[in-house]
Amino acid sequence: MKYHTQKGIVLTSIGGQLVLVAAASLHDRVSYVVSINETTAFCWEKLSQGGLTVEELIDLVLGEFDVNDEETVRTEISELVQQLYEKGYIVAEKELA
Amino acid sequence: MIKINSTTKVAWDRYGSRNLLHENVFMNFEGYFAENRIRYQFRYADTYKYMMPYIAQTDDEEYDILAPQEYIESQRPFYPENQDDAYVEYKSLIGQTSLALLPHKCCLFHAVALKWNGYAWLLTGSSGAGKTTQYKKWKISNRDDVEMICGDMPLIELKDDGSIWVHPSPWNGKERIKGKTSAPLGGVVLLEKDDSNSIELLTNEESALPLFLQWAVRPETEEQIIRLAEIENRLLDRYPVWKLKNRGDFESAKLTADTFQRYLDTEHFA
Repeated sequence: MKYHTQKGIVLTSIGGQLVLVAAASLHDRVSYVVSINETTAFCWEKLSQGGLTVEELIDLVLGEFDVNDEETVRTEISELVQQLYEKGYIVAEKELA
Repeated sequence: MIKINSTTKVAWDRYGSRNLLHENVFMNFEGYFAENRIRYQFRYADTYKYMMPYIAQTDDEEYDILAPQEYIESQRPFYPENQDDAYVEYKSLIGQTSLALLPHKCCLFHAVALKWNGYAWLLTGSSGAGKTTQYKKWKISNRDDVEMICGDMPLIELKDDGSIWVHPSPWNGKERIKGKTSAPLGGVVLLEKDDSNSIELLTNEESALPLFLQWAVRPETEEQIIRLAEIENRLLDRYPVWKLKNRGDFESAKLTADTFQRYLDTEHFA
């Protein structure tokens, strides 16, 4: 299943912190502003460029970052996608129709 | 005295000054916020009174801001049951005014803004943190040296040269102190209530999100989010942000004043 970023959420930097900021219309679904780490920001940027499956995202992360333990990365990225989806930051492609 | 044309007078006579104006009759006003003109139409006859003297009636029938009735209604639960409609409309305009000013690199910010030693100092924090109390202690201690710019929602302006100025606005708090002066920003203090007084300089990372939550509006579009982030980033790049844990006493006011003075003594200002 491919995932896309939710419209109306912006990845930006405030005071050197990477944050996701949600437009007012989404505030009953997602937090107004939340700080994120570099890996999440990377994933967000990739997802915002077009729909990606979890596997595709994992491959991109493995290609971008130096990793010692590939299995840990797979688990963490899978969990990240699940969390972002459950919290409403990303949507499944079938839900966009 | 507000100018009343024949149409307005008919509406007032018919509906009374505190009632909703006739649906086809609105009152047009304009205000200048850091030299940016914003034109208002009000739904309630008394709303303009809360915004004086920062606005004036205008013959211009076009407007930039007219709060939707449903939005005003959605805000009503946040106020006492007997709160007049005009006051609810007046407060409802804070967000729309901020959004209208964002393209001009301005936004309203939740703080008490005081002027001291030629600079504006923003005292911000959640309700009950002691912002107004701190100002009152300052005023008693320093009297004529301290001037109120705005008691609730000062206007923050990012100028082209990267400096930030602080201006009064019609949203000046329960005390309704109508500030008349603007000043370049000196610094920002994030207040917290505590059993003892202490102050520390925060890093940009530590102050970023607490400050971001104090802007008077939640942006509605991605462009507005980016504009708001830009104003805050410029503020953080150039100005100090302190955290003041305070008891709300004179000692906390002196602690803050001494901190500001040390800062002014050691910093170069462009």
